[in-house]
Amino acid sequence: MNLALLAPLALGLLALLAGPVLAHMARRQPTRRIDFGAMLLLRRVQKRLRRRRRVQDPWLLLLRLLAVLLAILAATRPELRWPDTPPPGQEAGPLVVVLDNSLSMDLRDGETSLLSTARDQAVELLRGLPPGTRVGAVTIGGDAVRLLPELVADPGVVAAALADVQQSWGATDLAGGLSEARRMLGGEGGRVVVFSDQAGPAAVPAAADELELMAAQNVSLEPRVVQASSPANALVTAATYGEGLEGGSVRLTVENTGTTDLDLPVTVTLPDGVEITAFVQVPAGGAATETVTVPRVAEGGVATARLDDPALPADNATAFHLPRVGASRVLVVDGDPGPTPSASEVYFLERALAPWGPAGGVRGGVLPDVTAAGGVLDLDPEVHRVVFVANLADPAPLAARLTDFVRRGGGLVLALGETVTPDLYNGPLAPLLPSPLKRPQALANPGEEGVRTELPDTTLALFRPFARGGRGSFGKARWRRLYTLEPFEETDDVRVLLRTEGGVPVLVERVVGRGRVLLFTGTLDLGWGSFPLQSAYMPFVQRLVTYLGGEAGGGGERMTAVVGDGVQVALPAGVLEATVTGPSGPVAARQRGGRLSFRPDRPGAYVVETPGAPPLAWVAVNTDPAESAVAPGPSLVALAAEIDPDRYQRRVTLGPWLLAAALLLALGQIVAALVVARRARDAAAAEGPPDAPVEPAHA
Amino acid sequence: MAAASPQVGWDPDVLARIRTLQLHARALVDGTLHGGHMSGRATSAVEFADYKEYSPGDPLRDLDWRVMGRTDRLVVRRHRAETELATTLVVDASGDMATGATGSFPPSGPSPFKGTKWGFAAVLTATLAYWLQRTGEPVGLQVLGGADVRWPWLPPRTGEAQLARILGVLAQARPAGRADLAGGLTALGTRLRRRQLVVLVSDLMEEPAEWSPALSALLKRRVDLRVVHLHDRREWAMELPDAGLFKSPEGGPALAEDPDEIRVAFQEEVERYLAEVRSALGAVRGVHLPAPTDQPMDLLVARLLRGL
Repeated sequence: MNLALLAPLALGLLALLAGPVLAHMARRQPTRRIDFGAMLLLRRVQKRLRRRRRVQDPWLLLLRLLAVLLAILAATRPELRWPDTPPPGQEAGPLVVVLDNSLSMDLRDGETSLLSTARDQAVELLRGLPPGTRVGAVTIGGDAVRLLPELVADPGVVAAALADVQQSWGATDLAGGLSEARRMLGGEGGRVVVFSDQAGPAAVPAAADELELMAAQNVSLEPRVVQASSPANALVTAATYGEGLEGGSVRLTVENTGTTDLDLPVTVTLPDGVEITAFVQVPAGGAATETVTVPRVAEGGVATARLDDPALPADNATAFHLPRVGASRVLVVDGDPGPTPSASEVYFLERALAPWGPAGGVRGGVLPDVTAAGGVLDLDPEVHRVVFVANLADPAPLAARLTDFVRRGGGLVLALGETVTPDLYNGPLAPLLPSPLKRPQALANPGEEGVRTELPDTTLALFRPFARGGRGSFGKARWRRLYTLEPFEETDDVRVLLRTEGGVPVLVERVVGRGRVLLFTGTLDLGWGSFPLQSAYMPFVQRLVTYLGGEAGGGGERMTAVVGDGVQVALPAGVLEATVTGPSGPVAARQRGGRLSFRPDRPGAYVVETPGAPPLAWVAVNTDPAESAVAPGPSLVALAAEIDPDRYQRRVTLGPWLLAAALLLALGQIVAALVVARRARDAAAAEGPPDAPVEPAHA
Repeated sequence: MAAASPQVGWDPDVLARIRTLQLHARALVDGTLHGGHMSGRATSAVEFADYKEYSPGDPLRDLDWRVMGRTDRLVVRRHRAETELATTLVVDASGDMATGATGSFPPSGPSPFKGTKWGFAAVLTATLAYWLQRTGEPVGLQVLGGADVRWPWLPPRTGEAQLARILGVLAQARPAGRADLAGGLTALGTRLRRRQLVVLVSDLMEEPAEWSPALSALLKRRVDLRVVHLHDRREWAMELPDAGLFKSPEGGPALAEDPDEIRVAFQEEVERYLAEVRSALGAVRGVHLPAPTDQPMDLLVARLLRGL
């Protein structure tokens, strides 16, 4: 509702208000003369109070001011306007019901949802229509969908269709719904009755263009707002995994838009089905955070946090990504097992990886899966975070698998040795090697200890933990033999991390896709150097696993999406058939041009996978946050009134009423002025002649 | 008490007023100090005070030779000289003094001095003069402002003739014009020859900042100053019924005011003004005696006489 002035220039007459004020400020000259002996003090007081003139007869002044003000306002021709639906008059014309079944309509008002109320009202409207009225219906939860393809002359049929409308998790597509309704009317006039909560800030403004088209088509809009008496909602707005005790923690942020404090249970369901419940206290109109501790070992994937909020159940679940937690499994490919365990190429590596033995994994450590060359087929990107390949003679059979593993985020350590030949490496592993291998180079004569390793740069992420201690131990590692590489330039993707004091590279990194490759130009045992005997060896190996596999949860892309939005997943080359599995089973998807696309219709975890292979992608799908904002948004009829004021605006002219009130006040001030004047005359008469001086009483 | 001085040719009204003043004065003095006062007439004798050990420089004529003869000690006799204390009564006869008195005069029937601050001041001054004459102290008079003032300045004298002159001046004078407290007090300071008591009877309706510097002239003469500050309580409380044109008998523009509007501010101003007066008098160790004109005069007289 607003007030419009049709003649705003008349406001200039407000200057007339100064007249009565000045008249009342002017002091009446008293007639009685008083001989006063303390004039000294009176002059002082008057000097002090010169600026403080009191208004005479304030009530009379108020009356006069009001009278003048109302008269001036009447001259501005004020008009009171407010948006409203047009009066009924086209009951016999065609009618389309637009029913909002978006997520926010699941809001409970008592025992029933808004959708239920809206549905009942729509059905009641249809049943009250004259027989033969052509009617149609559209739902606007997610996408605008016609319940019947065309208008039908049987309202009962539409009523039955409306009665079956189910709650959706989608956002409000009001613009789409109005568009469908207008099209159903087929270019002729008619009525569109919208049953909606009009919640959220964006749904109504987005329909502005469609409202203009409706106005052009002479379609009458009748919004029926369905709202809860006190809209309130609580939801998990953020769920993030972080480091912490045990296997880490999930930090939940819960917001409460209601007016009462809430104490609600929230249950976190991990990808492996483990449920962890906590209670969160959320103040009214505020937010709270709750931290849930994750077990030491947990599978990676999409987890959900479900809040038990009865107000709007549809948005209670929030999906989020959880990395693999706990023991990091690494695959160790032993290229030179040797006759005895201690002669194995990976003897020192295995013990550095699992110093507590095979049971160490349950303590959150590293579990090495040691295998021969053929065992690389056991590589599971969802399980293994890092692969160590040590002194493998022919890596060609593993090359494709390793390359794919690294590109998806895995970490690979290539250690060389006597069995390595450059020709067998440089070809198949070209996508992974920082530079082609050249040849082994002797750095010391037989019997000598070898060259020292240069102290590592602890500003590099790999060596950062050694800044506090252990850096010097690297310098004690001596090398008698190392593989040399073809000359290469260091770039952001290829760089030398460790070298000998003579400058021969010992450890070279290459970034490949989302993963990294570390080329160790020496051996991981005592074959070519003394590194395994140094105190830095074990923590360095542990650090390698963290460094290379810290971000990786194995394979699979991690994506987030909103219900109703399209999701596209890039498929690796050679993938012919990929499927999508959602929270309620298989989801229809389209595969074209190496991409798979689908539209999730409900929140939860979606997995894109190919048969017999680890998942290609994990998608955490959540509802549109705008739908969780259940407070009333912009008014549809107000927007319609802006577009088509003649149809949707009610007006009342206030001028005559203000003028009448001004006249009444004018009469009232006349009466009041007469009373005041009479009192003044009576007082003057009681005081005697005005100019009679008062003589001092001395003799 | 004798009647008017024979050398003055008074008209009958003035003579009647002198008589009235005499009656008022006598009634007040006798009623207030009945049986309680003693003659203040000082003798020319020198009164012994005490002894002190002789020290070089003491006058030899003060040595007590008898004591030296008896005790072989040199002691000096110390004396306290008794002197007359002259009093000058300064009375304000400005135009403002012609206003606002609800005074409580002595119970001697209707008085021509009733109804104004001037009347109150004249009776009070006559009473003080009468009492001082009775005790034999020299008394003088200075009239500030006024009209028909025969002798604005009467130096302190003793005797009934002086009293008659004072009563005559008071009876004949009419309040008019400005008092010019600053000029009057400065002139008084130059006239005083020795330590004196000065009693100023005035409403002090001139800016304290103007007349307070003149008090320093009195302070230099070691004057003992007492100020009887006359005022009408109704005026200071602004207890007047309706708005009116306020004017001063001394002249100047009239001010249109409504007492109801300015009452609080006026009372605040009175407090501020009194603080200024007290500060000015305190600086010269003067005694401030507020004297509302509705206060019984005998109480004021008793307070003054006991303090003199």
